Amino acid sequence: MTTRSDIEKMILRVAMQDRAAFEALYAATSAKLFGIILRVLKDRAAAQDVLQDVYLRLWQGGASSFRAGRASPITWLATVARNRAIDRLRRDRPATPLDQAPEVADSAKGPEALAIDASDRARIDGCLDELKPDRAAAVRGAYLDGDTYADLAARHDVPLNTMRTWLRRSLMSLKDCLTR
Amino acid sequence: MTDADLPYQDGPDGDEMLAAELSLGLLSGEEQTQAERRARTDLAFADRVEAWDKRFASLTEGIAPVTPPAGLFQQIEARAYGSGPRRLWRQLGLLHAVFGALAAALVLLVALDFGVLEDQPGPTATMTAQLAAEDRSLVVAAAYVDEGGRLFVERQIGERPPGRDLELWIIVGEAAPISLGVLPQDRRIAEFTVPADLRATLGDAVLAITDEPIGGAPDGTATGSVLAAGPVSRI
Repeated sequence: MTTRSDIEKMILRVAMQDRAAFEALYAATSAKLFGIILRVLKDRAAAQDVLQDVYLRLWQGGASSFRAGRASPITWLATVARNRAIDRLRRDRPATPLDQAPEVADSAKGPEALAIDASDRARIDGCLDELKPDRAAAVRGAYLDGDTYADLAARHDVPLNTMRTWLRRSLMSLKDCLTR
Repeated sequence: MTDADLPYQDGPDGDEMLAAELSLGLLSGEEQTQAERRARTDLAFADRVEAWDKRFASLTEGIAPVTPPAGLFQQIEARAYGSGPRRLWRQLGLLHAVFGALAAALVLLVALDFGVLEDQPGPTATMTAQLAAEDRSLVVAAAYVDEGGRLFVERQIGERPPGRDLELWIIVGEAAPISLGVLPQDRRIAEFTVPADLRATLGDAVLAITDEPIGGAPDGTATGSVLAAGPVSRI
């Protein structure tokens, strides 16, 4: 069973150019990262490109920027994958309609090691629920659909700085709630 | 004037909010570029961004894993294991020397953790140099292998000035610099041969890079300014 510490060691060994560790890391984490990238891009071909790019960059030095002990390795990998997917989305936009049918996900749950701390998730969901629904949707939309202030302002038909003031207030409330 | 042209009036929590906005991806254009730059140079700001990254990352938790198509890893391997610079430095046994303090610390960590550092076959470097501009706008790493007098050079930071070439020189004592050739335009890594009569004194030499016309200094004497220089040291 792959533990969190195993994944951490794999990342450190990938930074040392250990091919066996690279393959093991891919085997342990690629389905989780592919799921995230597909969720953002909703396009299988583009998601495969980004997944390749994520692992290639890890091999080419990205793994050495992982700071063991600071972030959980899977949180770090998830952030890298999400950020690369958002970059790609921005580059290609407007390529894919947002209402396109989502990919069929594996029914199997990921191993325990790949779980971001369940209590963290419960907390951010709970805290988002404390915001007005449209503000919570804006935060989720920015994170997973790549919406910028410009997109959100256009959609809600308000000036950009107004949107920014609204959302900054929400982000501050979110932080207060999460650190409560 | 539209609302978008007005600078945003920051509140007291401006940095914290900017970090959240960068992490969440709300910024665009110049503002995004500026914030990204700051996250690379301002550690306190980078920590704020990282804290927000962690908070938001839990939004990925509910996303079900999807197995990528078979064969994708083979494609990644094919691209990863080509002969890139890292592979070369590693073959030369030089991870510490050329990758800087962070990588060196990492190597130590892993060595302690696993109790081993793998032996690498192949040539072994005996001397290295780091050629850096004072402001680190140009950083070039070099490693020398006795066998065949080969000097491997990687341009790690910095670009060739437009319409110019970067030329590599060896300087021993007070003697005139001797050209080893120009750095390739299309690759970051190159191999030069140190002339046989200079090999014995290479350990006391300085390597330097100058800015020259395309093709290098026309009569074998440096004409441009020295962009980066560094002493050779034995390992």
